[in-house]
Amino acid sequence: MADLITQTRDYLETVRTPVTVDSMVTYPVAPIPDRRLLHRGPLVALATAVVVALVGLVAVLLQPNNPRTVRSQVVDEVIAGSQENSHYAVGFDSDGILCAEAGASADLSKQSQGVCGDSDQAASPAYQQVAAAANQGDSSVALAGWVPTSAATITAVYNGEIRRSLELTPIPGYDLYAFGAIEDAQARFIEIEIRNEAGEIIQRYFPSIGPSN
Amino acid sequence: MLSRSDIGHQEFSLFVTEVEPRLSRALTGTYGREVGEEATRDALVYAWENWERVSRMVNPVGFLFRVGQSRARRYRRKPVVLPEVSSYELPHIEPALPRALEKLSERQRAALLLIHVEGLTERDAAKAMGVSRVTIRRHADRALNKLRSFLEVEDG
Repeated sequence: MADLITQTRDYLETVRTPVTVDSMVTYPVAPIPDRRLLHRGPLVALATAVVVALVGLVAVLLQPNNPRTVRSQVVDEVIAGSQENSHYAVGFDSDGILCAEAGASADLSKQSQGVCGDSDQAASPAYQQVAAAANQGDSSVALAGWVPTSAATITAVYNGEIRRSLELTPIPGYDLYAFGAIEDAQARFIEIEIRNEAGEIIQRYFPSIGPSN
Repeated sequence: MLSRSDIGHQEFSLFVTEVEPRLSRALTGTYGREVGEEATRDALVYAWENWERVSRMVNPVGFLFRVGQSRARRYRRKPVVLPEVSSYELPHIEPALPRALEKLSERQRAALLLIHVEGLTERDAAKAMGVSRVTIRRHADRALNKLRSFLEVEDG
């Protein structure tokens, strides 16, 4: 009789079920990535998404002059100033879009409303209120707007007469200037003329109808 | 022309031909026929999935035994029952050998099979089982002594 080790080997060789390559049911046709990497996949995706979101957020926060934000600031300043003494505020954004807000007076404080946009301006309640008030000539109107950096002067003209020169305020990062508020009881009749260094009019605002060249 | 995956496939097939009998015997003897087969299969699949690494190993049997060991623990195991031996087919084998192997502890069987049956060094076998060389030598010696005692044989 063979020794115990040989017997054990022969016995196990007899009873074992051979595993061949072809019998490996889960045998893949090609090497697959390390399972540890597969397990880490969702974590990597999650981490990537978080990083991308953070970078995007930081980029937005660091953007110094979001046009909408600047526009809002200018208009808000005008409105704030006008609310002390007048009933209406009107502004133009960089595209010449009218923004109007009514409010601040005793009569209109509960109707304060604002609108910005180029769609159906004439129909907007705020615009209509502004126009109506201006037409009556018994209210003051505040104006604010934007002009290209090619502008050299900006003046408020009434009946061909320069009533006021407006200060141009550069907006960092933008090729635009903002001009300050003007209040006038007869603002309806005021034109805003924007001229370049050669003295040519490059843009003209009519407060009641918006920009015109 | 053979692609890299074809070459890898051929190498792996040769590897299985060489390694599988030893791995299968060790795992079957340690965990029984069914679990041993599953553990062997899982270990070989693992070898394929990590072929670049496994193909460079000096002692793949020991490493894959450990893989099979961890996979075997996933299967719910009853006490190991080894098949009866047919004295007609295997007249040179003690009929009581399966019962004697069953009497050994799992570690004793593993140590006996890795060192004495499959010829791994004590160092490689210890590494495969995650124990010290002293411990595995003690397991192997005790296993052999218990087998001799149970079968009432002197050699071994």
